[in-house]
Amino acid sequence: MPAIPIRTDFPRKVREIENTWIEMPDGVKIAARIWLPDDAQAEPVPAILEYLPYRKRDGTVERDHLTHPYFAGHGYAGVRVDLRGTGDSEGVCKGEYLKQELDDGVAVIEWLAKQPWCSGTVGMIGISWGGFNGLQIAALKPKALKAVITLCSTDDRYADDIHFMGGACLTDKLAWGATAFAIAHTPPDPAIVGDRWREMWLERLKGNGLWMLDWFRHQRRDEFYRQGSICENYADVQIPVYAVGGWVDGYTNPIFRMMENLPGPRKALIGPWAHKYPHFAEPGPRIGFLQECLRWWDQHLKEIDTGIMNEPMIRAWIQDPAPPAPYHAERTGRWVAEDGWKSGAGPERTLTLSPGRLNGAASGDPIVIRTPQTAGRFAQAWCSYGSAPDQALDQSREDGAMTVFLSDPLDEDVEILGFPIFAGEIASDQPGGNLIAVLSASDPDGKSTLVSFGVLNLTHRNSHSDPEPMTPGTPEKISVQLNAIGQRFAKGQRIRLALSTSYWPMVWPAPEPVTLTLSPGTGQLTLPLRPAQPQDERLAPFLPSEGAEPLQVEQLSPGNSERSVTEDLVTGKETYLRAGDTGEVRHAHTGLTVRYTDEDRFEIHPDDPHSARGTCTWHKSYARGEWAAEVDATVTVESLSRVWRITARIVARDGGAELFRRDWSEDFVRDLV
Amino acid sequence: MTKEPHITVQETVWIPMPDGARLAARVWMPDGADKTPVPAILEYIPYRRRDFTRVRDDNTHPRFARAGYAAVRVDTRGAGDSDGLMHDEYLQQELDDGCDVIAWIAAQPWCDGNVGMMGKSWGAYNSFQVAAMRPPALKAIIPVMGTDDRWKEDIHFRNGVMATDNFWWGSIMQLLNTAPPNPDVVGNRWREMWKERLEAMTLWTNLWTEHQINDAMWKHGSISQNYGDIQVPVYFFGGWSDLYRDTPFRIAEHLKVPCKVLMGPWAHLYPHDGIPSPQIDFVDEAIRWWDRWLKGVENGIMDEPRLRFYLQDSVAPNPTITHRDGRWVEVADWPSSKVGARLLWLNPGTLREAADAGGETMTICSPQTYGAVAGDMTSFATPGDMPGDCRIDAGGALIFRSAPVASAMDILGQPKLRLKVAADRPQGFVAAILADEAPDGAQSLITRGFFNLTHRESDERVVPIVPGDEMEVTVTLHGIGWQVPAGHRLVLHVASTYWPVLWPAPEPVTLSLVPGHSTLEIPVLRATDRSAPRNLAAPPTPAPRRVTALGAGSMERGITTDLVTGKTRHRVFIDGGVFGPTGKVRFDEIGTEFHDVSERIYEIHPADPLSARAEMTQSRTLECGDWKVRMETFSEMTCTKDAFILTARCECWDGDKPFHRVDWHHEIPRNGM
Repeated sequence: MPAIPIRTDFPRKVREIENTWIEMPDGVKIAARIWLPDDAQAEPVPAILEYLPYRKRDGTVERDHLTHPYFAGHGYAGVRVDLRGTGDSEGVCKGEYLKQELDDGVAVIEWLAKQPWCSGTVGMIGISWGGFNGLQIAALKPKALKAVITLCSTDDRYADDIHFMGGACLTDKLAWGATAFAIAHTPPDPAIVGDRWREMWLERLKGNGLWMLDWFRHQRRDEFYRQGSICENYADVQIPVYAVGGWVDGYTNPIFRMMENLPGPRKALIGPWAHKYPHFAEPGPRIGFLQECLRWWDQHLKEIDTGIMNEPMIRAWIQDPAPPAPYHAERTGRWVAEDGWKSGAGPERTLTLSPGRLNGAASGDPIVIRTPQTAGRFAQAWCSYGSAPDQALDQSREDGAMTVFLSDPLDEDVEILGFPIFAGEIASDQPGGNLIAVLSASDPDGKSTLVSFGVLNLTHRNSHSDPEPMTPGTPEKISVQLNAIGQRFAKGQRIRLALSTSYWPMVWPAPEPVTLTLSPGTGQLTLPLRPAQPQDERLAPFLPSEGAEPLQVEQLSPGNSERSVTEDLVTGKETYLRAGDTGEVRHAHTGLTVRYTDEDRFEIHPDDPHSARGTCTWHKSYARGEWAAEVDATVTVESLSRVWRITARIVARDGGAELFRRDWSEDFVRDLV
Repeated sequence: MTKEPHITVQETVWIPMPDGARLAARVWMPDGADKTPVPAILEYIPYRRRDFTRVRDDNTHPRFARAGYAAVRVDTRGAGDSDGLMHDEYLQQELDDGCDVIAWIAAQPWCDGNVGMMGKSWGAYNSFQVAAMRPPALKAIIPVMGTDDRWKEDIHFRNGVMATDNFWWGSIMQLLNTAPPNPDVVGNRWREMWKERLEAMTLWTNLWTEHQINDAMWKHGSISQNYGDIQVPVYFFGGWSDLYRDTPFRIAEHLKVPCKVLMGPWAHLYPHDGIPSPQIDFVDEAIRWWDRWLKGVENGIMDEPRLRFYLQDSVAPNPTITHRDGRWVEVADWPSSKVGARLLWLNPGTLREAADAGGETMTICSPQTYGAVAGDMTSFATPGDMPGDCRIDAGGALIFRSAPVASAMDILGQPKLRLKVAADRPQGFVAAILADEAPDGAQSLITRGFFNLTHRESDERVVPIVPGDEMEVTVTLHGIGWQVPAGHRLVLHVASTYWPVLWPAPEPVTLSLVPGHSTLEIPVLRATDRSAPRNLAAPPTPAPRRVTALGAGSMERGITTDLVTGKTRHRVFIDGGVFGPTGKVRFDEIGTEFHDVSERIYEIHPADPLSARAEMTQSRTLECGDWKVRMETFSEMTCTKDAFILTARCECWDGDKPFHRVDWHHEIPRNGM
């Protein structure tokens, strides 16, 4: 966790409730940690709820300590709640965003509103899972919930979540699925729940299950993904929503959709950030995000006019050009603002593709796109977590594998904000196939920095709900929307578009190697231009980043991380490896020693999509004195020609002795994915 | 039916030199040679006749003996079991010894006074070199896979550019030079001989690296200095997957004596062991040659066309390829009237019959990692050591692509790339890679060539590049026979780096080409002559391997890109030595156990030529009864802008006792490299 300036002098003195129990209507007790003003009984405050499964006791403590005491010091109760079946809460958790989770959330809000220290109004804040369920619970309209801050989340669990992109299956479905699998099988802390910790743990180990099975069972946009997708009926969300994200995060597209479609008061903030809260995010610049949150909470939970609603609806960072690098401490740029959003309504520039070129001259030759399965190895992560270097390397290193188009050098700067779109008439030699479009900025020396990318499973060209095979050999109008981005291309740079039929290891391969043919003169790249506007200059700067006193930790053994790709010249296979080890870390406030190690290994042969295989493993250990609990989780997914093959194992150890073990092995027929 | 003549094998015969030193030989002789003297065939190399080349020798020399020749396999002075010291390759001492060995052989009662000399690699070099000294008894030679020009086409430099093979081969010799003679052969003085060798040992890589122009050291032993020195008939054998592919064309053109050439698809292996197949019975063809020139049998061999080539069919890229389809073709002379030139112009992105008018300057600053799929230029056909799919590298080069060829094109000879090129640094080189692009986009390497721009006026004098000045240079690509099928395209890569084949220039170099001034001339065999060449016999079943495997060998070869640092690392690990993963073996006839293990690492950062680093760690263990010796070597090459830096070490053990250790550190100024 990067160090940020610390604030300790708050308007109100802060008290912490280490754990309290919130009883659900069915009797299950949910664990909460609460920071609130010492005098809240006398002068009740609104509550700010953050509600997720990542363990308030240890998993999210570092960021919780920066954030919730800060809210408390400014007259709020910061409330961290573990979902049912996770952390220190009772019961079982059988998946993401299930009705049980949302109903529990409503019950938690009702409970908070009734507490003597609570003013009766509640806000929800969260990033990722907690950002998702903030929107989902808002759509259920609990009376006390008055406003939401949602970061790195989605309104559409099929279109923009870790499972699919453009209808193609992401390998993050496995990698994150294994992460969630490991977390869901960790024990509660005996210091909180007492002797029944083992019994609670066993209930989880027997009951939580492998959520991924549902995710592979459902491969098209069906009821499973509609549940919890607020885009199904935006009108359900009436309360004010502040949506926040970053350009290297995986969840920025929904922000533009929500600004276009939500009926209530709404704001958006998009920085250069990864999947992190903006007061400690990378790439920088960080901002005083907690101060910004307080302006929002004061406005909507305390009815103080902070002026925040008089500001433009959308504030976004237009990035300057930067050389390619897997890690950027900062992306320079500037803030711009928009009063609203309507996709496609702004000025555009359209570039026509001809062989090798993006300069408008339509040529008579068809363009063939057929890529080795290994193309994409230098891409950024689908969702950068901003902790390990996981951003894109020089894109020109992919030139040979993909089909590349370059514009002439730009004779002036070009700024874009929004969704670039590639469109063209494309025929496939197979019923299925993926098309990937990668937009980069190419420097005069040829080095190219990734700007944005889009993926389309061609069977989803008309619908994610009702995919249809392509008719081999018949060209159809195809459109690939790239991720929203704010970027300045500099004079002298070239705009670079690469088209590919594979994007490994981000996207699982289509069932068969595919050759796509782009009909002559039909290919177009449309960029959403965003000329500089006078109000950009008048935007008030954000305050500097700050937080409450950080968690005291002791690093007992060193950690490390690595990310590499190895081509085995004997077998021809390529192995992409991500590995991390936190080392042993002791938390001073609980005396817990935790250590997490993980390894994601993805293998493929350049000629064989059926060789694709990913194995993700986690080891998590928790110890205090005599108590030691460990979890080993391994999940493997293989993309075979007709099925997804999933094997998994969980092993739990109590004091070094095996307590529980379970194996899974299932095949799921591929459903046009 | 005639009776197969019996042969006698003498394990060790001592050949006295005029200065009293004795060279060790293994001799195969037909029974009765003492009564009816026979011609003799000499193979004279440092690679340890008793163990290292034993199995290979068993497949050639006994067959010569059965055909009525005395076959004599001699260890050069200072190597194997021979007396004395060896200070470098091909020194005058070695060549003088060679003449003395020939004179000794000719004077033996079993010899009729006629001697032939043959050998692969080292033995090819010194066959040429000894022939140039015209020992009277030497009547013909068969050089297999060697060169007439130690500057242009040796393991050290490639047309004036430093090859990493200089380091690699130097490291292999470093290990060879540490090995003692065998006590069973030389008796108790083995330890004293070993000590003498070790104390005199220098790091040959250093010597070779010090000579960065074509000076007297390289001219010595280069018969290209005066082809007229060769006055005996020459039959050269080579392979398209090997390094030595220009020598056959040069000698066919320049030698004044009867000369034949046979080029197969092979790596650096005798053609009867050749990979990729098809193999031929080299020994049978050699016997025809010896019969003609040592016995005077008019067997018609000289009535056949002088040059015979395997014209390889196109094939998908595969670094572990084991077979090449193709057909044998013959021409009477070189240059050949049967080979015409096809001229293609380098235009932006294309190779066309005509130059485009105008057009922008084409520039390339190749990343230091360009060349990752190059394979080893001196392939031994160990798994993974041949070129991969060139398109994977294509982002690092200027790419020129022809239209699909209308009908099959039979390339035979050395393509010539004539460039008008400027560079922005005082030192730099051009790497030209010609590939065959299949309709699916995969690019198979046809051939490649290099040119050190500071050697444009002479190989004997460095003339720094004047940045920005246009230079006219001709890059001769290595000889090849390859059929490009109808519908495939020719793709030319022009790059300023080629790692890990070539050591990079000290700074990143940008090359600029002006359209309309550069051409590629491709030698194309006219499809007129359809006469079928004489059938070449397939090799017979190999001689029984009198070897016991004592452990399973293993082999790993891979390229790892660290996605955090950006560095690329090429690693080869072989349990078994340079010829492949043979593991530990015992030579059953002599009881010697032999075990080589090596690891080679080449690493570089794409943006930094001074990050180039080569490392090789090797060990050899020799055991026989109570006798056990172990040699370990380490070598490393790095560089600064001004110097090459070599760090190396040898450690030897006699049994468990340390016996000798030497450390080297050399800094060698760069001179146009």
